[in-house]
Amino acid sequence: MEIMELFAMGEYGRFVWSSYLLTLIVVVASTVQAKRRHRQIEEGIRQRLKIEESSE
Amino acid sequence: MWKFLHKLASPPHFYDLAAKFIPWFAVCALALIGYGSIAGLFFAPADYQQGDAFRIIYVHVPAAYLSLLAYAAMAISAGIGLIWRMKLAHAVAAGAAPLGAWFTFLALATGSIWGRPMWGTWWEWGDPRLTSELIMLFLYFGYMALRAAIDDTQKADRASAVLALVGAVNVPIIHFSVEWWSSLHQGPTLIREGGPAMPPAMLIPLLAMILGFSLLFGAMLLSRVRSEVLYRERRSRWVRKLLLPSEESP
Repeated sequence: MEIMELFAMGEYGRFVWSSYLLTLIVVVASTVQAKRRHRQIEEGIRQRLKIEESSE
Repeated sequence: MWKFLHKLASPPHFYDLAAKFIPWFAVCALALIGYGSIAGLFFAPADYQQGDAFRIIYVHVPAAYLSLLAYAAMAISAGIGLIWRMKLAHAVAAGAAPLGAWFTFLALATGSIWGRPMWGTWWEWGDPRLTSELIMLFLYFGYMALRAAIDDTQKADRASAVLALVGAVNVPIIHFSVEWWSSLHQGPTLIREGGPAMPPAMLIPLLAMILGFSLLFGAMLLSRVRSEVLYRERRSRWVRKLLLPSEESP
C-alpha cells in the first residue's frame, strides 16, 4: 500500500508521470532521428561513390 | 595551443575524437539522470505549497535550461563561423538547432502540464515567460527551415547564422522575463540573491539532473555535429576511405 501511495504522488500522479514519460519520449525520439539522419547521409555518400566508381 | 585547436577543427580528427567522447558523456549522463530521477521522485520531500506536483521541476528545469543553452551554443558557434569562416563552427550551430527545438518543446510541454494543476490553465497567452519561450521554438524552426531552403551549404551557413544572432536577443528576455514583468511563472529558484531557495534534499537531485542533462546534451550535440561534418566532407578523400574501405585505390 505504501508503494502505491509513493507512485500516486498525492493527487498529482498523472501530471508528474506524464512529464517524465514525455521527457523519455523526447530523448528517445531525438536520438532515433539523429541516428536515422546519420545512416541516410552514409548511404547517400556510399551510393554516389559506387556510381562514380562504376563510371570510371 | 593553436596547433591543438587547428587539429581539433580538422574534420577527420573531430569525427574520430567525438565518437570516443560520446559513450563517456552518455554513461555519466544516464547515471546522474538515474540518480536524480529516483531521488527527485521518491526521496525529496514534497513541497509545502505545491505538494508532489513540484517534482515536475526535475525534468522541466533541465529542459528549459537546455533550451537556452542550445540557443547560446547555436548563436555563438554561428557567430564564430561567420567571423572566422570556420566550417566546424557552422556544423555545431546546425547540429544544436534541432536539439534546441526538442528541448524547448519539452520545456513548454512539461511547463504546461505543471501549470494545469498549479495555475488552473495549460497555457496563458500574453504571459512573458511562456510567450518568449514559444518565440524561441519558432526561432529554432525558422533557423532549420532557412537552412533547408538553401541548397548551397556556405550560403545556408551564412544566412542562418545571421538569423541565429538576431534571435539571440530573445535569450536574456526569456531569462529575465519573470523579473521584468509580472508573470504566472514563479521567480528564479536557483540563481537568485541569497542562494537557492530549496533544502539540500530537493536541491541536490535537481543539480544532478541539470548536470546529467547537460552531459546528455553534449553527447547528442557531438553526435549530430558528426553527421553534419560527414555530410559537409562527403567529397573528401577521408570520407571515401571511411565508407568504402575495401575498394581503396592506391
